Amino acid sequence: MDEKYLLEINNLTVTYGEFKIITEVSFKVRPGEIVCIAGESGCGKSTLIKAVLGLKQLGAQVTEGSVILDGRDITHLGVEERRQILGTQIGYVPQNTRGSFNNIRSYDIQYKETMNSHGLPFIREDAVKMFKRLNFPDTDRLLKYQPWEMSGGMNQRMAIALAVLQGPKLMLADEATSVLDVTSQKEVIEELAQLRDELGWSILFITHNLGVASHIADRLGVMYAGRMVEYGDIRKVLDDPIHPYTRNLLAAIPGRDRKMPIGLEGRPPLDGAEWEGCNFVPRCKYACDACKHKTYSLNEIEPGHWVSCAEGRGDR
Amino acid sequence: MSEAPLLEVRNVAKAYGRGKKRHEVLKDINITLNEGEVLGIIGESGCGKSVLLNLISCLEPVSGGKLFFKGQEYTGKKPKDVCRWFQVIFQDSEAAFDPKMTIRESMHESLKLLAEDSKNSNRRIDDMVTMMGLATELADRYPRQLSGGQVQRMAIARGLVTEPNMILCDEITSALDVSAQAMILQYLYELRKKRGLTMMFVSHDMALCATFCDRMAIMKDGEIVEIGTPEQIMDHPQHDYTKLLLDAVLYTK
Repeated sequence: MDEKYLLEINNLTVTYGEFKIITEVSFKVRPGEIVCIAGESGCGKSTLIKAVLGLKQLGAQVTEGSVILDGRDITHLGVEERRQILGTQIGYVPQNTRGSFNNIRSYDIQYKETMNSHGLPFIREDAVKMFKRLNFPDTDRLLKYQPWEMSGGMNQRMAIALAVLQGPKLMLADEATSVLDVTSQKEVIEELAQLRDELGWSILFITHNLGVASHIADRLGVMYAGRMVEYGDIRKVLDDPIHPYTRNLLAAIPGRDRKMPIGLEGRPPLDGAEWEGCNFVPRCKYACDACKHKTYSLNEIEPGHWVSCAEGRGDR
Repeated sequence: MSEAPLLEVRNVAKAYGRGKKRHEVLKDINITLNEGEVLGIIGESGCGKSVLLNLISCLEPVSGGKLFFKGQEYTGKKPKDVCRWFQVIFQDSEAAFDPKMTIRESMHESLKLLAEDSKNSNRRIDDMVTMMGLATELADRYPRQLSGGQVQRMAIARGLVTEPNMILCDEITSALDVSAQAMILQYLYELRKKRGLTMMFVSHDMALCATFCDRMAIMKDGEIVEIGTPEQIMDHPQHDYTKLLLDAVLYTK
């Protein structure tokens, strides 16, 4: 099928020095689609974002595979070429916006600086219009404030507005709501979804919170120890999970029924550990002998639902 | 009259600063907690839920009101006077353990300070560690050699090894992955069944508290706005703020 994708991740392997953090991850993001990548700490989900942004100074090295943005291979772009696409084509909202804004300079200076450094003019009216559109309080004076005067949630929304002003096609959000209170978390993700509807953005949203994913994503990828174990339409993955790890994750989340959540003993293999067979075997109650020697890759078990497990193949 | 409750917090208030800078963080808090009961305290950042635990465990003095333990007033006591009754477990337990001591050495210190007799202390530690679902060999490791979930379970084991009347948990699972969080809850639940553990559980996660608390208290701006059983709070919320919080809980289904 000849479908157009905004972002294609092909067989991506990323290392920090000798440690392999991401192994052979592939997925595609369509225009206007929100894709969530979920998984527990250390599974490589943030490294994935770094690889897309190409932030080599952070140590992440793409050793195999490619990142294709709108038909263009951006895996190994040079510093100057990359600067031209960052911000204007790929927007980024980090987890800790307190750390990315200077706390004691007003927002308008920082907005102007950021826009200009990406070769864009800073038009105050546009910013205010954006705030109004997103229902921010006190829109006319907002730019005069300094980040320390704001709550964490408001600061995060200012960071999103700034990313939006640069007009990117793809937005990367790395745990953008994880430090927020539940009420501001809901506001922020609803704003992101609203912007997607109005601007036709694609969003790649990294989170460990499957509740957040359930609320905004069209598609969900679940990562475990550097590999994508399940990927597909959000309802298919959440309502009918196949991979034992996805099932475990969902069982661990307190639900509406107020039943005791069920945990998962053990821990993922250490970063970069050489592994024979499926790396979930030590924690998997369904593992068979074949799993100890065989590495599974994503396999489409039904239209729009991929799983990397013997479970989905019928060969058990 | 029936037996006095294990803990009673009566009209407790806390303020920081003086004069114009005076800032009230807790206003007129009233809580009673019976033996064997688990109370969840829910609120967003800055609502004063951690301060409340500090006041109950005497880590900070109250600015007003009174505290009672089994009917006896203990307002104004020092932490060391009450640490046999209450053990506090914090969010970042790796920081709460001495990095230069093995977990077992840390636990011996607690036992030496708090327990009536220090006989069989190794066995007591082993029992407690096993009860939290961990291998006893792990107690001979240093905190940094364990995963976040394991350290947190060790911290709970250390809190319980001295057999306090009650444990106060301050966001103990917030920094953990969901599967590690669920493991901790499972073991706390087991402990509750075996020992009738009394617990105050501070959290921002309503759905989580609803799974195992007997009652839930909702805090906002230093006040308890609503208190009730999980059924009352989750199914029939009265206060607007409770409704707002409930509306913001994101379920996967």
